[in-house]
Amino acid sequence: MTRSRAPYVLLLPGMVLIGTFLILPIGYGFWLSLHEFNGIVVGHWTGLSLYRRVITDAGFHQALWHTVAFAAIVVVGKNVVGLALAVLVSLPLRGVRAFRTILFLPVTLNIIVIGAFWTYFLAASRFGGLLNQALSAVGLQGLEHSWLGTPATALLCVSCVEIWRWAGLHMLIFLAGMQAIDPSLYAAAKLDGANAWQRFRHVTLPQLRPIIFVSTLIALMGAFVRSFDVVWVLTRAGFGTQVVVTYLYSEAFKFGHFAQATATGYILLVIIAIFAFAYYFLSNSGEQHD
Amino acid sequence: MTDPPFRVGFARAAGYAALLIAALQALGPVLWIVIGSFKSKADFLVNPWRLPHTWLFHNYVDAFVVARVGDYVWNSLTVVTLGLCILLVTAATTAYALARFKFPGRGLVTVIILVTMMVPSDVLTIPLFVVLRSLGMLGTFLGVACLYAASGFGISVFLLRGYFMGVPREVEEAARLDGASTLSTLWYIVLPMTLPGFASVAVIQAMAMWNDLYLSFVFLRDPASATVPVGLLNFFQRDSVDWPRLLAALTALTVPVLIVYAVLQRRFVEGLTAGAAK
Amino acid sequence: MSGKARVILGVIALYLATLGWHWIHASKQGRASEGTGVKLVVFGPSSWDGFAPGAAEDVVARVTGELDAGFRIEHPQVKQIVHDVRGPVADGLARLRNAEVAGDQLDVVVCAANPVNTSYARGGLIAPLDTLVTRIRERFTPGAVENFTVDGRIWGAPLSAVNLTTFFYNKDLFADVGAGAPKTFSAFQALVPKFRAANVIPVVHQGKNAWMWLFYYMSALAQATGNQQVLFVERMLDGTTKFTDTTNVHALQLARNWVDDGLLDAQSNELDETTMKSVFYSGKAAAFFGDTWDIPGITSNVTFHWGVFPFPQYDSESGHPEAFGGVESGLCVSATTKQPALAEAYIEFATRDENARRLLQPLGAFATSHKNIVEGDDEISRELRTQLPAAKFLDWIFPPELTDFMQRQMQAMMGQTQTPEQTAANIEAKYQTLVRAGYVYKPTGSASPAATK
Repeated sequence: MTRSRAPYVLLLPGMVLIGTFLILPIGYGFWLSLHEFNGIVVGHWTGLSLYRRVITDAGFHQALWHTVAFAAIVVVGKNVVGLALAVLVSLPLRGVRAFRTILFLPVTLNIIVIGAFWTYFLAASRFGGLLNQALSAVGLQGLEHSWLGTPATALLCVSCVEIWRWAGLHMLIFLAGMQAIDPSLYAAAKLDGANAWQRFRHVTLPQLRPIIFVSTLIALMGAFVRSFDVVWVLTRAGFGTQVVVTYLYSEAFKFGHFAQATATGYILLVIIAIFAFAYYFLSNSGEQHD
Repeated sequence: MTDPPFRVGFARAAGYAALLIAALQALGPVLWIVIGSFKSKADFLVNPWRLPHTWLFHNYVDAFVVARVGDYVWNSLTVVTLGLCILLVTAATTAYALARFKFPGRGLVTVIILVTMMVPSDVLTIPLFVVLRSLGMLGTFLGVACLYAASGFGISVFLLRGYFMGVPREVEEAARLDGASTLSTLWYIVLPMTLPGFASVAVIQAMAMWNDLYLSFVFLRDPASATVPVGLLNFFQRDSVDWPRLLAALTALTVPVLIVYAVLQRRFVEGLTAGAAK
Repeated sequence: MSGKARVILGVIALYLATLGWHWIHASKQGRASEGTGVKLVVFGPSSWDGFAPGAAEDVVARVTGELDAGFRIEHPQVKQIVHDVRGPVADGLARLRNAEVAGDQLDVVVCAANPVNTSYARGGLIAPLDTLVTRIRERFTPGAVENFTVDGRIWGAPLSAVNLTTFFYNKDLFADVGAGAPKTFSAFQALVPKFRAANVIPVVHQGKNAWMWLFYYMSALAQATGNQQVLFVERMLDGTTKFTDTTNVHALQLARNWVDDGLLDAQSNELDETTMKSVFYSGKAAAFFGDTWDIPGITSNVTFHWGVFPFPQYDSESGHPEAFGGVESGLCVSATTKQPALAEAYIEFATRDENARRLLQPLGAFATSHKNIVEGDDEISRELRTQLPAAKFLDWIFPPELTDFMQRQMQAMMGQTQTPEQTAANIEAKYQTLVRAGYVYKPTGSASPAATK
């Protein structure tokens, strides 16, 4: 294997995999979205009219707005909480390693259980909701609220549950990144008189930049593309929590508008692409190395 | 250390407090599941939070004997292992190429991978049906494993690329000068040095594959091939969800997963620093 | 390479061996039986779509086995009958569609009347069954066949219990406040302060499942329109009457009164079916408005005396209370079957009185799809029978996009975040959007499906 051909050989397995199972279906799906299609029979050519219909649908606009708000909260939350947890479990405390496993627990949980637990937790106190019961127990009855039943707070709660669910994963990502930081950099900073916070700001964070980039990317994808589960189990996409993926699901499976649903999916792709590429070029981390 | 002892003590206490709070919120649902699994159905419905009236063990037996949870575990293990192997091989090679080599089309490949991460699976259902059917892989574990690998591909590549880029170049140059081929460098030098990262990716993807409901529901329709999440759906029967039995199944399933994670975590994610090369 | 590496390789080898076996094993499953004889597949899109639904697993297995054995005696060429009944109700449509698209063998489909009306028939998932059902029409009650008639054609043979919307109540709690089943809305209203004093929620609802809110609307509309609700709905759908018509708004207000007057818990939107039932079973709430399919769950979970009563009479309205319902499910023929004659034969066999009786008997239903099969003889069944005949579910008439929208609007209104006037206005606006996109209401009797896109 000569040097110049090496990268292409390396790329081959991956490209074959995604070529067959992702790129081909994406292309075919796009072709389908240009026709009338009810899931079984492909009808006549409709061109971009389905796209136009989706873009002008008020339901879609609402779903999009919710998704953007959701994504903003979730991406920031996952990164901040994940990083904080990673720092926390790297502290020189005894027994801290056990916590690494414990804090990863939510990631392993089945979504149905997560839904059941948080629904019960956030319910009204007379329905057995722990949070509201706790609030009234400490005298804060005024704060008692229908958390998942009110449009404003429902989306916030769903975002928080999503952050809670994945924080352990981001903790793991950051932890692995922190393990690879050269200890001599810390030693040098300490010699310069830097305290813990300064060491964090000037050594850890810069070294973690590529990891932060990836973590944000993952969080972004998760919020836009894989948010169906958490929204569905908590609120059945009601009360102001309809996001684009639940909207898509309704279109496809409740109403049978498969082609329209597919068009929605591609519009979503374009929107995420805009966000992702903007972030990619802004953070510039692709250019930093070699 | 130049910090006075008082501050160290305080910092330590604060650290422990923070950890405890974090642990409680992570453990909450798990405790709920475990406690619930020992209750009877009526007991659970009346108050899902309090301790069981009587501690019952039959839920665990029922979960495995009546609900045949063991079969689902076996199927899941098969698909996840297969998917993981495919994924790790393809993602590692691709990530290495992107991390270390400047070649024409590098930007294009990156963009393509990024784009494939942005399409929700619902949209691809029908096209995937067609593709798998033409390959004759519809309803097979291999087919679903490939789909799992493909869905986790983008994230894994970016993560691994990030970890690979953290490896000091001198080590690779040294190996190259010694006459090692690219693949050998990858396998013998780079991977051991990025083991924490590699292991994290493996763990994360394994988790995602294990918990995947959508792809296995749609593409593994045969009841005998049901994976764990699909099998758990069967607990949601017509009239009465047998929550305690479901929770027993979930406990029984989560515990081994946690043990595996804890073991892998200790061995790989911590303590194996990049200093080995120096 | 050390012993550790060898162990790892050994484990991998073991896995690969198992994978290989499973791969082959799984591949074989997907194909049709290669042996001699014919295989028939009976498909249930969700776990609700099987024989004797709601009965214990062993009972279901027994009656299904007996039916199949009988069929194979009559049709000896059939070597295998496979029943594939699984999955959550919400995913039934997706499961059916996926199975057909994948080219799985599907012959008979056990289908619920609701999706047949709202999606299966017009979606091309099942085949029309006019010839067969007309031939054996005598077996069924007239309403039962009506339930499976869409756009003038018959799409399935009914075979199930009849379900009915009804209130369920905790007799003990009602007795504690010195009351029996309330007959009028004002009588029920009078009980509210007494329930409050006893710290009991009068009525709860599974508000999180938006689709259940329509029951309140339908019941109110029936009384507000003097029991002409079907006609009224048809006029709204063909544009003669607006959704903002005073009668419609009035009906919405009547539904809303349940919450405003303190009967229905204002935070019912937090509850799904599990949490709502747990509130009822544990005695925190005295009643809920549901459907007779809830009965098996209640009988197996409840520790107090319970009963049913019909939707109360609104004092101000001319119409009398109506119970909505119909036949729950039946047997249809898949659109992709390669053995339509055999599928029809199975359906004909299963719906014969003697066979249907065996399948329906475990349900102890108060009424069934078959004229000659009437089971349940207890107090509850007798009470329910007095509420027959059941009125047609109105959401079978609305197009699915509008139904979905209306459910969400009802949910918001009953959660007290918008007024009935606003709700009506929103629905009218949505209806107009659909009309602009090409929706035209086609009343039953026409052969072509209503254009909805």
